[in-house]
Amino acid sequence: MALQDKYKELLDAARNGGVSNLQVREQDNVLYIDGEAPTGDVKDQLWAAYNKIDPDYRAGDVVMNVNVAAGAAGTKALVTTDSTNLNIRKGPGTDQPIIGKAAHGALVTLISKANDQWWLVKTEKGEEGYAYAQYLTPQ
Amino acid sequence: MRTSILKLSFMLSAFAMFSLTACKSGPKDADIEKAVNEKIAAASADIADAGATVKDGVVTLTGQFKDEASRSTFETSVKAVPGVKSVVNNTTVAAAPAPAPVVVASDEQLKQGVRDATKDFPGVTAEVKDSVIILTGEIKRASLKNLMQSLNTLKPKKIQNNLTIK
Repeated sequence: MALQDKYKELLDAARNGGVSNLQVREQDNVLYIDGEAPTGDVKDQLWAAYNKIDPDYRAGDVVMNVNVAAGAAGTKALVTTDSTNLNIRKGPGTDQPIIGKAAHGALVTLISKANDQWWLVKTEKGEEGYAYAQYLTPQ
Repeated sequence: MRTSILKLSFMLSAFAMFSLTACKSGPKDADIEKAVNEKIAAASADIADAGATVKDGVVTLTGQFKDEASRSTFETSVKAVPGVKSVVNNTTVAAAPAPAPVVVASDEQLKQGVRDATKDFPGVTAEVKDSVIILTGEIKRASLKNLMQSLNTLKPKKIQNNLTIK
């Protein structure tokens, strides 16, 4: 329970932010937080709360797998790379050939989720392929 | 004289009201018990080993509910049964099931995921051992959150961040 006390502010933010399917488990001195955030803002708030309690994430006592709920097929997602284009690949992995690009700030359409890391999307130009989910923010 | 007649008539009417109430017999304990048992039968999905006894309109409940919400809903519904004066709620609530243990990804799965996650961070070296991700090298502070967010989705056992932050 000690870790839940240490990260109380983070857990409160998750509860108050409306994170669904929230699971908080403590195992072998690591706090595992799983769930789905309703918006990208809520996810940002959680990471801000985490960084405040453990600056630069040095302690290694949290694994927070809270992603923005992707919604149904047809949901639009914003490309939120730092500034570069987002690669659209033939399969879910960086070893897969690049078959297209989505510009920073462009919208893509979600087709399905291969897993938490790779989503199958369609670009505005109609290219269909896998993009790294970290750089997509569902709208 | 006039006041005493008024007083008398008031007393008479009060007496009449009192006797009326006294004569009107409320639901018997047996009726109450029957009604409560019907409620127990209706709530059988929420309660185990349920029992109810009634004495002088006081209902005593026993059994185990699946959760606190169903327990209090049931108590409220029993209180609403005609003739029930009070409820002694001796029921308990089942302990919450233990959460499922955390499942971590295998080293093989993590290595693949880590390769994808670190691709855009050339200064970062990530090693995977016993499902723990160990980060060394250097990174800009502005990029750290991005990297950590993707690594956290891979289901590692933990992430040891030994990065030098520029």
